[in-house]
Amino acid sequence: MGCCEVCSCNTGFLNLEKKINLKDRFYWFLARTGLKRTGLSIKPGLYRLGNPDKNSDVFVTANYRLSVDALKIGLKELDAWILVLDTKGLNVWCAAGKGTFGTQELISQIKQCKLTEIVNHKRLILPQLSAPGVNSNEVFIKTGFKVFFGPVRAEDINQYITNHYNADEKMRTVNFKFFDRIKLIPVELKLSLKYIFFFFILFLAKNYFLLDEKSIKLIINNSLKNVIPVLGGLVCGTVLIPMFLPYIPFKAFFIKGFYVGVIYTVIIFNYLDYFGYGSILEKFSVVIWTIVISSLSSLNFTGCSTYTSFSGVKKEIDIFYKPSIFFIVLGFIFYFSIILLNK
Amino acid sequence: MKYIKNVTTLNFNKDKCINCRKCFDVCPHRVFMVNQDKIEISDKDKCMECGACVNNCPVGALSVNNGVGCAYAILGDGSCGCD
Repeated sequence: MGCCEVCSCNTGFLNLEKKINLKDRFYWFLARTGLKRTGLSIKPGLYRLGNPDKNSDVFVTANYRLSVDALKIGLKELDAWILVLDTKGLNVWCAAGKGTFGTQELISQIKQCKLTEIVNHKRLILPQLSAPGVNSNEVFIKTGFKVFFGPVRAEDINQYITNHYNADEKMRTVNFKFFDRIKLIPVELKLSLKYIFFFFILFLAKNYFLLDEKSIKLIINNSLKNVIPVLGGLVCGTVLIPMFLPYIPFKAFFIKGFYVGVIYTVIIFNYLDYFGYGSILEKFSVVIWTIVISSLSSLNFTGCSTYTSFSGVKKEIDIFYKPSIFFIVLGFIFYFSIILLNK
Repeated sequence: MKYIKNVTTLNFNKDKCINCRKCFDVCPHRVFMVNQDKIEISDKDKCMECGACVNNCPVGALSVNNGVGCAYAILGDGSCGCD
């Protein structure tokens, strides 16, 4: 749709602002905090960045704001054409995995935008992480354009061009460094908090039945106290695991989460009375919950990681998922049976 | 960082390889290495089954059961919810 503006009317091309402004930064903030997960897309089509001419390079990217911004920053002062594919507002790697950053979409955008009439060369530079979705041989056969898979990170583009369109080993390798990982924490935490809310509702119900004096303030206070150790379990899996991932022993994410969860429960065990877990059965329940929540939220972090495979995650799920659910339910049975017995 | 050993479904048929090095170029985890006139697998356990190499191999020398290594997607309907 964006291309029609480029091709069919004489008003000129779509232009990309070179500078990153306050509005862009605000969108980054919304995306990174998870406050806004959709609607971060821009119109697909061919854009001008600076003053490109017929010999300027064509860079291909996804129509996710943060992808386009990363490319803009990477290109610095370079004048270039930016071909933005319709990836439904998804970033490059995820879109390539889903196939929306794919061979067909690329071919159709090249044709729609009449790229052959706009540039004199047959060179397309794609982010390397789009390779799972793009078959470069097919693109060449159907359009005549030769796909060059550039560096993984847009920040290396200038170096890549200086290297005569060669991505060295460092440019081709995906990292998962401390800063890459902690950026993901807010969204992970936000998406998982609903599970803790579910526990909170259950504690509210329990405290309502258990307290003789139906004081709303007391019920909420006690429920908040009850939920804190469980919330701690979630923090283990969604905050500590991302932060210290390479230093936590074991390779399977579930076991990493289990390991951290066990250490955490050992530390808090002596304080469980204060949080409203008086009897041994109640303690047993909350220990199970925190460890399982830590393990499962750690397992969930596989989706954010840059090196876990489908077969590996499937293996973890096959082994650990059903027992986890079993233990969580067992925790509930113990917890609520003792309360009913005491009543 | 390396993930669980001996799980990847990556398969490489060396006889078909024409040494175009596409797989070497697109692999994000240095699974392949160039050895004289053929590509070799240097560390199979690093493979995350993204399918980039298979998708770009012009002679079909590679195969993998590709997919996303995301628990949320695998437990759900295959969609990762990242949309």
